[in-house]
Amino acid sequence: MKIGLIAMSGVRVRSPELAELGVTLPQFVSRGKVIASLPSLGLLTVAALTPDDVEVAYREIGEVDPEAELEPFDLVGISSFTAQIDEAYALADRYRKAGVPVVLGGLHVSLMPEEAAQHADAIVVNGAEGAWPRLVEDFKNNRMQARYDGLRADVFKAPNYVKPKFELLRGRPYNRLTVQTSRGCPLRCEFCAASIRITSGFQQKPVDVAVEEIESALEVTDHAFFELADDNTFINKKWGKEFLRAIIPLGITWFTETDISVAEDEELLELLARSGCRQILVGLESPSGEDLDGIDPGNWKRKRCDQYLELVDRTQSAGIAVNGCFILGLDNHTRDTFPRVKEFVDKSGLLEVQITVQTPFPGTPLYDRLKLEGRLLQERFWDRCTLFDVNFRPKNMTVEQLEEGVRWLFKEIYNENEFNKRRRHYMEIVKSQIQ
Amino acid sequence: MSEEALRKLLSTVSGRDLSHTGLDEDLKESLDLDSLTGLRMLAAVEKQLNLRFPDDKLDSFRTMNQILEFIHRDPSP
Repeated sequence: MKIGLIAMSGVRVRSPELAELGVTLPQFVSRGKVIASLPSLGLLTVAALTPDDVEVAYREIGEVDPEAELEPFDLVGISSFTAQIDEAYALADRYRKAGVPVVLGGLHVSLMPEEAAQHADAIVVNGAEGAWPRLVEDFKNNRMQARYDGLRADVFKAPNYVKPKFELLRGRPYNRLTVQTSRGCPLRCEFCAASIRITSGFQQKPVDVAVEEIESALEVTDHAFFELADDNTFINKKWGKEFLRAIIPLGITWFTETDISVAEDEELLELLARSGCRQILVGLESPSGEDLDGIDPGNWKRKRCDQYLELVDRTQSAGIAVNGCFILGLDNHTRDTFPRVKEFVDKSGLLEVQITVQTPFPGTPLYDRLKLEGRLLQERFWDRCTLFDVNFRPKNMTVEQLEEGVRWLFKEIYNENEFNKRRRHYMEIVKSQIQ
Repeated sequence: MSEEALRKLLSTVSGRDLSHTGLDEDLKESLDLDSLTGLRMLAAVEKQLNLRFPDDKLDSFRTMNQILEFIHRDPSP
């Protein structure tokens, strides 16, 4: 028996103006390429949850030729995010038409199970832990059910935890490998559509387990750069320091997503630098505290906002570049926000900047609220959940003004000259640290 | 700066063994380096030799020969 696991991947932009603009901007292109080339950690975990007597093949959508004959499998599992879900459904429909049963899973499927069920013989909701082994056993015995609910808690505890099957990546040309150390984030931002939606609370792997995963991943590559596939890695500073001390001897270089509070702890910053952390991606969201009011239940980001410039500087001065993320179209944003973001970026010396449009992913509190307020532009807009397309009516400007403002910021921030200035700033920091 | 000194400096910064890397080999590709490590290597050369690579041409310094050519062309100390 052979199961084909297919990952949808890649960055998509629907707005033709932005798509055209995007491909000409150096920093936008480079981050897009990185995201598109990350392996699917979710499917590597599914592979590890598959019994040993079942053969597993891992494929990425780029390897599936839409014109060619379908690769023969006994069962197909497809995992997809929202923006690619229609492509995933089309592929699922093709396989089912050819008589091959299909299982769909992933974040979008977990949040829109009824919709996904129309394109699958079975769906997996939440994580695969606690669901996939039962599904495979049932499939073997011709009794596969229409829905399997995975665990929302204790996924990193025995007997639920498995180490992702990194060996499936052997021989593939990745320059980044992903390892997950946690699921969820206690900040619970209204717009967040990450693993927080499939977990009942913040869950973190024990340090030795996380380190062992990195060691396993290192066995399939010579010099990979690691990307921690977390929503917020350093929520727990004590865990963070223990983890960092443990990975220093591995000699890796890596990147993660976390919040700006890492800069409030000097020892943590020093350990980040020593452990090979090259860059952190931080959701700053907006340059003004008022803009951030209410985006997370505890107003955590609003309370930190006044210190953003200092904390970014402290992090970068420790040798860790910051990729600062801004979300445009928050309820308190006006047309004046765009130049304020540009001004903040200039002042901050951020090496990299990520500009995205607030996106009401289905299943998020933001989606529910905007739907209730009648502000969604379409009933179904999944292929436009790209983070670059506007899908709702902003509160204090028109849709066109938001689109125009984002395009203006793209041109102002991602052009060659600004990119070179930010790079030079980073190089001068690096030089100041060399003895 | 001699070829040997450059190899040693870039090895220290990148943590990679450059002893078998060809002078015309693309460093990022052959050593599978991330872009930030590439920048750190150029920053180390700048610091050591007190020179400055042109900001708009940083991406063009991809091999040791390209770096050496610039170093030997640049008259600054």
